[in-house]
Amino acid sequence: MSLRDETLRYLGYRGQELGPAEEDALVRAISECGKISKPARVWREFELYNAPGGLGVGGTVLTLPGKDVSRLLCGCQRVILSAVTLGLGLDREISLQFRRDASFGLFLDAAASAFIEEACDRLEAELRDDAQSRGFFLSRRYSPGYGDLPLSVQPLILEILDTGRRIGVTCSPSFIMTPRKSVTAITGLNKDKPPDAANSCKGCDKQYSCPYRRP
Amino acid sequence: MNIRELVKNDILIFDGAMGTMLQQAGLPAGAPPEVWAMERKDVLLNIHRAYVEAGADVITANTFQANELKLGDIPVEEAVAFSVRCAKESGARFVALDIGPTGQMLEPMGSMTFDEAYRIFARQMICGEKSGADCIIIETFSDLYEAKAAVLAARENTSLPVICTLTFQEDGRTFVGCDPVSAAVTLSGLGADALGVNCSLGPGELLPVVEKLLAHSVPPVIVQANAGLPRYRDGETVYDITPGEYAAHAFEMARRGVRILGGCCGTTPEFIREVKKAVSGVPPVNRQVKYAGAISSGVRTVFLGDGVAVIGERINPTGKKKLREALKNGDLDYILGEGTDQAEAGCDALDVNVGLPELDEPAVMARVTRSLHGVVNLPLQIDSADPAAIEAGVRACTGRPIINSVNGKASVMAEIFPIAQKYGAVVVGLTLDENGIPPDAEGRLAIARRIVETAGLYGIAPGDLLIDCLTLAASAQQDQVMETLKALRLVKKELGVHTVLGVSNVSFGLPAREIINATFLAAALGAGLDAPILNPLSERYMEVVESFRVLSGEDKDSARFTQKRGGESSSPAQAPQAGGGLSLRDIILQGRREEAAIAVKSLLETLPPMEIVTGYFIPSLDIVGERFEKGEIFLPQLIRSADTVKNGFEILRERLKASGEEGGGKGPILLATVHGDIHDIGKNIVKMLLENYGYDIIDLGRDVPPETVVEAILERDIRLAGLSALMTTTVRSMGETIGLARKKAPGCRFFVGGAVLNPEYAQMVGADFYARDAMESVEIAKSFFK
Repeated sequence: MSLRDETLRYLGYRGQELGPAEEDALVRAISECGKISKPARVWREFELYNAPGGLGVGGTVLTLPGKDVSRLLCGCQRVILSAVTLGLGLDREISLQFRRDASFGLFLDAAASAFIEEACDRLEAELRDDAQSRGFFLSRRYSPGYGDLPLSVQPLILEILDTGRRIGVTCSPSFIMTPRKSVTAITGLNKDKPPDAANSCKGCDKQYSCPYRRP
Repeated sequence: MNIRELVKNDILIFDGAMGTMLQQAGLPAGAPPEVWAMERKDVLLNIHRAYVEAGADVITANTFQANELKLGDIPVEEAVAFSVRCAKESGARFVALDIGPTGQMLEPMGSMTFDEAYRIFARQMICGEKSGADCIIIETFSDLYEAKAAVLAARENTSLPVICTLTFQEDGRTFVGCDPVSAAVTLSGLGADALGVNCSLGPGELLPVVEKLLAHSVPPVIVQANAGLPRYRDGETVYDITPGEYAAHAFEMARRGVRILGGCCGTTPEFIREVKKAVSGVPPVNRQVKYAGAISSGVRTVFLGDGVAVIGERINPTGKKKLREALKNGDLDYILGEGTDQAEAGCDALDVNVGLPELDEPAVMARVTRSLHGVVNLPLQIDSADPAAIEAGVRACTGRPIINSVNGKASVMAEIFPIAQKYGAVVVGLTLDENGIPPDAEGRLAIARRIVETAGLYGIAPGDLLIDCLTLAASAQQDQVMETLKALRLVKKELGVHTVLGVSNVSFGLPAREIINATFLAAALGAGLDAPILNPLSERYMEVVESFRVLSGEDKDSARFTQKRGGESSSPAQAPQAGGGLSLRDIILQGRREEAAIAVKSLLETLPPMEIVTGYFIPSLDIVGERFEKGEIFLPQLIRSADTVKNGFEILRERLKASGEEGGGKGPILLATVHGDIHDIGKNIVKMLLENYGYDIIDLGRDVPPETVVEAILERDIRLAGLSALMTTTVRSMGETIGLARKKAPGCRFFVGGAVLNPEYAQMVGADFYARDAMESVEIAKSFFK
């Protein structure tokens, strides 16, 4: 999907008529986002093993709990933890623009969400190429807060990736990441078989009610 | 000899990486290194000893994250004492207590408060000093404000020398946006014993940052670079330069004036050995430091005297009814709007005055200052007659502020200069004293001289003073106008100070005040005024400033002026017309924001304000709302219409206030984003719509503790309150807030909303109503206040 379509999707767009004001805001928001965001990313690959209470990430103190992540990583020998961010300047700009012109602020916020997803997609594609060259299949990416994987694993993932120092991402006691447009992800590597390659909405327990679901 | 003395003549060598060494020794990723090493003292001791043997003068204790947020069950005191003693046991000449960031973002971008960060650091530092550390190194900070909390914690709770380093990225800024010049002038002002850069990049890449630090840092500069740029190999971080290459860079830095060198990620004892060899014997360098007159917001630094620095005067309740009310109601939004408007108009610093007798001025000053830093990147001028409010304000500033003001009275100087000295602020000095304002220039020069001399006793240089020779009204004391300008020239020439002047007083009592003010401004700039205090929203004043910058040569090749004004003569600015005859209803339906004000003004000629609300705003919004509910328009279109009404409302409010009638008058409704949550776009949309419908909104902002909500409910007798939360983790705070209110303020009803909420959640947290979207909160309010 294009950045334009994704931006509209985050705005809850359902095919309404777009006037010149919306067209203009859309183009401007995407261009501003490109100018202001400072994409940065970090990732590390680990062995995966069965641990009490979930899947153990080798060489770290992290155990991934829950059924959903077990299903995702079922049969995987290795796992990649990653974090991607667009930087703090964009947060500032969004709140400034919202103050100046609320409607445009919404466009900018939505465009930023589309940008961060795109940055994640790009990293995933690179990791997939790299994995394939080493004879691995790559699972789709999964994030804390999806399904039954609790947000509470967030601080440890950030710690392991040393995100505070590497890309400037931190996390509050209620697990809100700063900068706002930041994503952490878990991706499995499997030597033996390709994991089911559905888009990230299928299989989600909110797939029929979520306003942001992908077509 | 202590470290402060030592660096005067010798180069000081710090050790290299600790994390890299611990990982090599088996530290699992994600485990707190401080705790892990407590169980493996020999590992830690061997690392320290290897650095001592390599020639490091200072060994950094393994306390980077030995704080209560990271240690879990182990008391900070135990961990710090263990690590400092272990470092001492290695035979180190000096031991540094290592202080890393808390790992959380401070307000306003995050939710941790300055005081909380300060307390966490102070606890580590008190214990570090007790355990025998010789100095404190505050390192790897991105946020200058958090670094300030740490430096103040060190200076207020220990007597140890304080070194502070930030980490900069390839664009020359930290993740939070701080640049090296702002870091250097701010940390110099705060009294750091050394300041500099660590981590993030290799020594080669850091050179441009280091040069800026050297140019603006008063104390010695320290560099602890990584062993090159981090690269990923097989998912692991590796660094790419050799100890020899690193040492060559270190030598180059020492030659340029860096006095403390060490290493960060990827460096090992071998690196330190080479650095020691390379730099020993490099003599001290006499640096030219540009510091006096620097004012900074932490992301932008202005040097007084380099050109005209316009100080925006609008955040001051004197004679401003709207701002007074905003302050009384805690309506930060309005105040921040005054800040962003002035910033957009092109001013260089903002004066902040929140003095109202009924307010807790220090608390309000800190809150406003803090919040302004979140939305504007300009240095601030803390303006108050109350020393406590001044201290609260400068403490809450991220960069290097201005204090407004002292005068020639000894008692005032004795109260204010210690604050300026401690926080490193620039100070405005008024040329008046117990006997009032001297009538002649020589008298004012004499007072200015006294101010300069007294400031000197506190270590405040003349260049860090902004002398105000005081503007008097031409209508009352016509002969005084030129005397003020004469005094201005004199103080600049005789005392080497900078000058500041409020211009608008000159026209008091005269018609067409802007004309008089603008001419006086031009004359004052010609006389050498560095910093006019004025209303930057006045186009006329900014024209004078911009054109003066051309004439004085500050605007090189007239580039800025041409960029802004080029082509102006050919096409005079078109004032927006009311939509080619569109009705206010259509203007709202189409969301033509710029046209609302004009249409409302023309309707006001025939209709009373409230009829415009009931006859135009509400019916139009109802149509927009219905279209939104039906999916005929989507959110940004709804919001554009709401914004259009908001613009129209501004005009009505002015009219209503002028005629003494009350504003919207419905409600009031309290709104807050709950504790722990900082996502407030949804709440702001709800606020805008409710205000459009004429409800008075008390907006408590985001991350609001339950107690604050309940206090506000009781204080203002609120019957309906709306809470928002975006995260599943913060929905819990919603329940806590409503639970507390049920006990203490049972009369209040709650509606809730936010991305993760649904009717079941709303019921679970005990809410009375669930608002699926912003329009639904309007419906809830309408039926509630029927």
